[in-house]
Amino acid sequence: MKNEKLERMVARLKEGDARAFDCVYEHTHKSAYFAILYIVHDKMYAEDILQETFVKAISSLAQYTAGTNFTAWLCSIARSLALNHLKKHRREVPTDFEEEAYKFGTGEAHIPYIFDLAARVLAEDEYEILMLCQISGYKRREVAEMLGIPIGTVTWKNNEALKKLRRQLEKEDGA
Amino acid sequence: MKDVKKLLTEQANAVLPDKKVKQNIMRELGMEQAERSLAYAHGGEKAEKNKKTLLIAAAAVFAAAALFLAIFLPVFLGRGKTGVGGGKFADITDADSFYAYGAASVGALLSVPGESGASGVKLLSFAQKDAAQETHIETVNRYMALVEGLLSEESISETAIAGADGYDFGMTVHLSGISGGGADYTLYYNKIFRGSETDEDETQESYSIEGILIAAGGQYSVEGNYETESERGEAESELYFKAYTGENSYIDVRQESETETGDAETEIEYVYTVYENGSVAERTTVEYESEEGELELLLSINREGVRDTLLFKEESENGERILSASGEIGGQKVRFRVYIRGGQYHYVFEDGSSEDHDRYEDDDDDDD
Repeated sequence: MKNEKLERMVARLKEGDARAFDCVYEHTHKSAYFAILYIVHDKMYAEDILQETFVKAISSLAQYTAGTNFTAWLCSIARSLALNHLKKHRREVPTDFEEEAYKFGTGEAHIPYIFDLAARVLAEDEYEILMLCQISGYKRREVAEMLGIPIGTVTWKNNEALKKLRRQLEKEDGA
Repeated sequence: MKDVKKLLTEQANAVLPDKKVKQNIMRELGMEQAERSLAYAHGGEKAEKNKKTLLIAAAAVFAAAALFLAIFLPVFLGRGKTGVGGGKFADITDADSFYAYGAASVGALLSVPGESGASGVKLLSFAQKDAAQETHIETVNRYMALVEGLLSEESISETAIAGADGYDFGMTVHLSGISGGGADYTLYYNKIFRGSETDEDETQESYSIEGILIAAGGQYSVEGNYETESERGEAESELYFKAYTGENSYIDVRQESETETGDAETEIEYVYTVYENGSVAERTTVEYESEEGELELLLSINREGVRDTLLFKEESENGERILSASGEIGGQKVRFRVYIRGGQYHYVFEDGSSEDHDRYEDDDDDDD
């Protein structure tokens, strides 16, 4: 969806038209979700924080300046809440087994290993671009619009992220 | 080699957020209740009425589009088919044929020996002319394989092959030369079906690709889009194919069409834009023209503020298939003939001077 259309929907939501929420959510929640997941590495917590993010963002829509990239604004709220979550839970130190639970499928969140590996080896922007291009089904043009960067950068970073992950997997296989 | 893309897509559902998150948000914001009570307040009719209105509007748009296509499509398709080579653009009717055209034409631009397609243009001085008459002939040379392909008798042919390198689909595309032979390009790609989306009175049908193009031994990341959109009976489309040569460097080809008001004829042209480090380095328009039943190809190259325009047509000289061209290069009127000999383009100018330039790299070239 083009940014102008998203902005129109956000404006309608701001005016109290609840029907616009569906459209806004469908076109923005994956960006926010992966921004959170990159920080917390846990699906259950990421979902909770995503919920908190939307509630906070919609409740304070008046603070959003129209035309300044709603997705980026939403993601900044998401990141901030995810970092707060980390601070809150810092005192909880997992055991070795719990830390590697994702490898054995015993973790509560059950995030597949490849996703956790991606969050560990990729830079935040690479991770976000990879998730949006490969997992969320967005076109690179759409990702470029969402993130406010050139499409060439999206393509480049997506390919670099794939290469990095492939190298890391091969390294681990060889070890 | 690890297929990372496959690993990611196979496990996507395990990582994507649950649908209940959305419901929870709506409940927390009191939206679900608001929607439900609105529907109940109108006895369920308002929602139904809106749905019906949307369906009727969509049906009307489809009917209008179908009627429009039934009347005008034969006119569009018929145009240009009377010429020598047959307008190749008329064969581009769906996503597959568009991507085949994109792969072949961009592949041809990337296959000129010694040039990346996005590299700087080399100016060529002719000894017989003064310095001011330096021309952009090497730039023109990069488009010659494309010109040949578009003026040749043979269609641009595509053959489906198995996917490879982590991509589900593959195709080889053959771009013919005017005297036989030609070059093959390989495209491996994934299709991204965007499906159809109806939002308010807008209907969109989209389908895009991402993958790699193999041309003259080089491998380039590509992406393409074949998207049609209709809103209030007005049709719009976005068709493009891009091949990356660097982080912010790429060749982009897109279809542009124009219909004059009250005119049944739609002019279709393909625009090639070469981006270097994020900036436009070259912009070239390719379109067919018909002159007394003969098909010609008009090439307009804009580079560094200079516009070169050349009109090409295929001719026969003593049984040899050649290209003749006339137009303006570097501000000078030119007329020349192009012979394909020994894997090179042999340019012969009006004043008798000549120059040789490399043709595309292709091992199977058999027209020597």
